[in-house]
Amino acid sequence: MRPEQTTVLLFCVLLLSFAVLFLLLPQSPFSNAEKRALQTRPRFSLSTFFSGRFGSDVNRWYADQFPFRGVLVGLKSTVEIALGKGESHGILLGRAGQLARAEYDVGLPVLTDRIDEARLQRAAAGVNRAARNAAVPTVFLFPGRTVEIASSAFGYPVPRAEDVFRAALDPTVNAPSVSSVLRKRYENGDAVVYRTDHHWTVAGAYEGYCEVLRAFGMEEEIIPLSDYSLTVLTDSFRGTFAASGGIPWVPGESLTVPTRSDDDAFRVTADGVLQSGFYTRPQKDRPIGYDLLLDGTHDVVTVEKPGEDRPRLVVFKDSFANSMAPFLARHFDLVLLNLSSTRKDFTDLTALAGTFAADRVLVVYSVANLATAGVAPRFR
Amino acid sequence: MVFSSLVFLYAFLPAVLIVYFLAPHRLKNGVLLVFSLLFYGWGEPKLVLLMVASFSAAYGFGFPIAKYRLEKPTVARRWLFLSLAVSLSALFFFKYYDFAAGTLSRLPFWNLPLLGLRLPIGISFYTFQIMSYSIDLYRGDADLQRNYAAFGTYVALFPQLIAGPIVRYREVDGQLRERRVTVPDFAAGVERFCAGLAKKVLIGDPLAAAHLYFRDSIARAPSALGAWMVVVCYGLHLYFDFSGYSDMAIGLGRMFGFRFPENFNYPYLAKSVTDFWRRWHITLSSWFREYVYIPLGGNRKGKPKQFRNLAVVWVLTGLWHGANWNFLLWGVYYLILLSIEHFLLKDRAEKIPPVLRHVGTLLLVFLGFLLFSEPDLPTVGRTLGYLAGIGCRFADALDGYHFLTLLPLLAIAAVGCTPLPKLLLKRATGRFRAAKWLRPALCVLSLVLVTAYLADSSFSPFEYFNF
Repeated sequence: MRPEQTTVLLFCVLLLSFAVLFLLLPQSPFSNAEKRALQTRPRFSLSTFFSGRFGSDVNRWYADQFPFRGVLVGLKSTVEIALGKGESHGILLGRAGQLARAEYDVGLPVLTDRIDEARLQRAAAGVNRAARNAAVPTVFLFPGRTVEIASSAFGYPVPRAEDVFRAALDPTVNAPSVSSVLRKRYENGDAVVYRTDHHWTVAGAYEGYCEVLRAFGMEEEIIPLSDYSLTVLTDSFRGTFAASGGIPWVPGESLTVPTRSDDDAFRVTADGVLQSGFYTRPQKDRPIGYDLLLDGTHDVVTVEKPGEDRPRLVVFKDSFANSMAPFLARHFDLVLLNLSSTRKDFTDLTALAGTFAADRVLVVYSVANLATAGVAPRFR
Repeated sequence: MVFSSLVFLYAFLPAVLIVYFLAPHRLKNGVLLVFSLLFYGWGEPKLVLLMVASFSAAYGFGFPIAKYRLEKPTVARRWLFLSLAVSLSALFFFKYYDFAAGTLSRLPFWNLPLLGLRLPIGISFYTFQIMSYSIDLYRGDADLQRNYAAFGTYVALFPQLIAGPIVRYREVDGQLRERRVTVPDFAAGVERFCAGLAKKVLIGDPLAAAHLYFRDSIARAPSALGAWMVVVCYGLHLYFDFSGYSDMAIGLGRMFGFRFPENFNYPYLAKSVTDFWRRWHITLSSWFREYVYIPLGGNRKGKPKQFRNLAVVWVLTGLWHGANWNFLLWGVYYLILLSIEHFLLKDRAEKIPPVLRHVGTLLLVFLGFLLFSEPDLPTVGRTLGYLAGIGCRFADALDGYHFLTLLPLLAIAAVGCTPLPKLLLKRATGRFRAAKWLRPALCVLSLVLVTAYLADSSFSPFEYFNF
């Protein structure tokens, strides 16, 4: 066969193969890797056609359901990283498969890794205001971004958003720096942050817990981690960074939770619904992930130990606090209020502490959220 | 619809190829016309009617133009003007009305409403093609096209409908009536199409992302390196995007038996601005030379009139690219540069060392593109200042990091702007027997990679699912 004939044959075979496979292969309405609904076959109508919506839905349908899409996404990531780009979809690939998000402002048309100093200063002003108004002992904990804690894994000149933020905090704000502790432990080879997810591990959350108790003057009551059993829920956890980066060769990792013999003594409710405990039982059709902790996202979660009169800690939080809850619950009844809620506004810390009869208040809000979300500037 | 989409590659293209090659000869233009209207209407179902109305009018006006051309030239001329007026009025209304109304409303006693109309895709390209038919017919350079499907195919042919090349009617008149596709023709078309696809998707699009990154970056933390990256990434992106699209159009045309004119000839190797415009968007320059510059007298009526003719062409060229002051200024910028070359430098430019001429031309062209890429003149001014290090630092660590990670892509792009890859491929196929399989292999490789990049573009994890 002549090269020209080969070119024509291969081109046509490739075009037709993908065209036919697209129509023949089963299509899924949901992507577990991306954790989002996929476009399914759009329905044709004259109104959708003439509005142009049918065309754009078909484009999305092809893009979402294309045969071997996962393999193709992995191929693209591989090519880009081989070309020295060092990242895929804003996820940096570091030493030993460590992943981290470099950029802020996820979801904006232009991703940037430049710090928005004004935004961080507005967040610090909110924190300063809430701390001044607080009627009960209040501690602020700001878990750092993986890219700042595990910076040695990347050849990336990470801008320290936390430093900018802290420089604008009043010195009187009780805000221990857990990031410096985590950074030291990471340098010592401890897995304090996940390799594939933006959260901290049990070890990281435990450090956060220790810092909180120290800040409340309760250092002597800290329960050593060795008093807990560490239960591995899965060895193939692939978190948000892995999902975002689409880098196929980065392996999964262990997802571990701390348990103790008296775990059954706690009563956990999420938005008023009684839960089975600190951790939701894994379901067959859902990959095991960080959202097993306190059943993922809820506006109001309570943890109590029935029959015991204990001080109440109201926690204004993002998802980082979920893995601290099992440690904190040994000392306090907890009311956890989700600062990222789209239904409720929990930014009036002072009033809500009164409403929930708080003895102490803890704010756990990650640096990534401080730098991107508009919640902290509204603290009062 | 665009070529660089999965729907085009794996639904539209296989379908049109199958139907086209199964259709009997007399229906082939009709098949192309129907698929072209579908291609255009995919994203603009309503505006397809405007295009059909435009080419239908020109088709109709063609008959009296052809009829009276020899016997009653004045009457033919009236029909020609009518045809051009209809074409241009649609272009003016959709593309320039708001610009004109906004500009005039700044004057006292003028208060024209803005309509905010959506610009029909490709209207500048197809309007110029329609005009070319009417003019060629009037001049006797082309025969009357009686076949409506053939004429519609000329205007709406999907390979060149959206981004050119601008095909003059007489260039394809014969092909619309009779054309053959051989295996070597089709293979050449496939190679050209795959090369264009790779240029746009694998090089042009990542450079566009890099340009957007640096543009945002210098707005937050100004630096000279960042500003230079804005200029370089945009200049390279524009070339790979536009010439890639032209390659795809030429390649697709070849698959269907058409020979479209070349639109680019390594423009970044130009040694003067005049030379650049002989190599960049060649079909647009040719159109203006043929239908505006030469009819106005060209360079035959003395220097002042030559300058006037140049001015008309470059103001129109600027406005053709877009209805705003940036584009107008961009046209004036080239009028000034070309006038300096034509009237002041003349042959003296030849005494400048070639390397300097090349670098100088590249610099002027890339700086000119700032008027394309930046939203307003103050931003253009600020970026020019940053390029000179005014009001900013040279670079910070992040600039350095992103510059280094982009270097391989920039190097590939720089080599891709030259004939070197083509020469190497030619040399390899001439020297090694097995290298003849390189062409099919490269086509498949580029198509697979492009598919991967396109599949990835919809990869959009919802990070905060359940959080």
